[in-house]
Amino acid sequence: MHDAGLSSQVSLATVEVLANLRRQAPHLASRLELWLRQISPDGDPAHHFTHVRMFPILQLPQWLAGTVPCVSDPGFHAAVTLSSVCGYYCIRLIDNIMDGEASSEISVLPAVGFFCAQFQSVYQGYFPADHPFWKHFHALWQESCESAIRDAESREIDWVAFQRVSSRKFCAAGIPLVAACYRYDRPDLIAPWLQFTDGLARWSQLVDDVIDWHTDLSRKRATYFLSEGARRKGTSESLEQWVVHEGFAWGVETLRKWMLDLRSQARALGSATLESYLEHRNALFMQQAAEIELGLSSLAELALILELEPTGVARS
Amino acid sequence: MKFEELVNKVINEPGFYSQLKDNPEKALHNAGVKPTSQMVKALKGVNFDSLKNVAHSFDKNVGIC
Repeated sequence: MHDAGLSSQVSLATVEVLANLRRQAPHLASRLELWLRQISPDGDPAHHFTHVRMFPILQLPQWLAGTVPCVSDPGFHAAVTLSSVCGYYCIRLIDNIMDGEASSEISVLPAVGFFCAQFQSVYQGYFPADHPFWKHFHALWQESCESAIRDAESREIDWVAFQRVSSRKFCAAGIPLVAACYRYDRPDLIAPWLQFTDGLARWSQLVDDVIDWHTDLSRKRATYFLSEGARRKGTSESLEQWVVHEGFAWGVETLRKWMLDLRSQARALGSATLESYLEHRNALFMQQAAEIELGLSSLAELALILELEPTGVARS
Repeated sequence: MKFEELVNKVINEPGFYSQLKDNPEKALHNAGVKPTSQMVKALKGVNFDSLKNVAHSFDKNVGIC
């Protein structure tokens, strides 16, 4: 699902971020450019934000604006895109360090200050200090920081912790949405759009948990999916066996049900573009899940042939 | 070999399932499994391409969002 307008806006934003950085902090800039390329799927920072698995932080305010009959404000959306790109990098840098495997991130840690300032200063041009926008800004930003710490320290994540902590890592994505609501004089849209964003964050986090389960398990990272596996697996069953035999299918079925609810919320929000994004995103995930399920079935068959588990254990 | 080791090999060692497909006796021997004629025959029915998809999906998608 290619959006040429967004791609061009993202390219401009990443170019501007790097130009600002080179001008204001040239020594940091060269190191940071390398890191931005390292974390991008194909080495191009601009493509990072339009990747299919990327949470749509840049698109959400534009989808919201599309539901409001008003004069579009491209300057506002370009500024918000720049802010969100910086906000994302700030959070990603902190998250990677909190995950404890951040050799390259430590050397660019001072960039957090640069990103945070760029992220916030855009909104200062639109909302005076006493504007109600700032109450939401601080609440969402602080919650995002709190969730990052709690999530990194979690050893087991149950459903309550998943809702309150793990999926709340994305809650800063609500900041540009709140800004768009105030910009277009529709504060009544804040609650339903934030509620939808929470649901989409839960879906996205569980997709990550399900697809990255083996890396998470190898690196001893607690996730809701693996914690649920530890609760659901048989006493003599390993987590690997649970995932192969039933865990992956459980994850996909849970995501299917959540997606139905998300699509119904998107209809209520009145955004056809959002509905079409969800349809496309869900179709891509389901296609990938079907390919993986076929492979897991072959893996279970291989384990039986190699006599790695007693006949009858495989349930696929 | 344990089940967990098999999963790890399939995901992290692309050479393992390629060899299992092309030269099962050698692959099993290298993995510490004594190959039987029954195993070698049964391995011919395994969909190795689908195993490749699993390895690709679980190993290459980390840390995008």
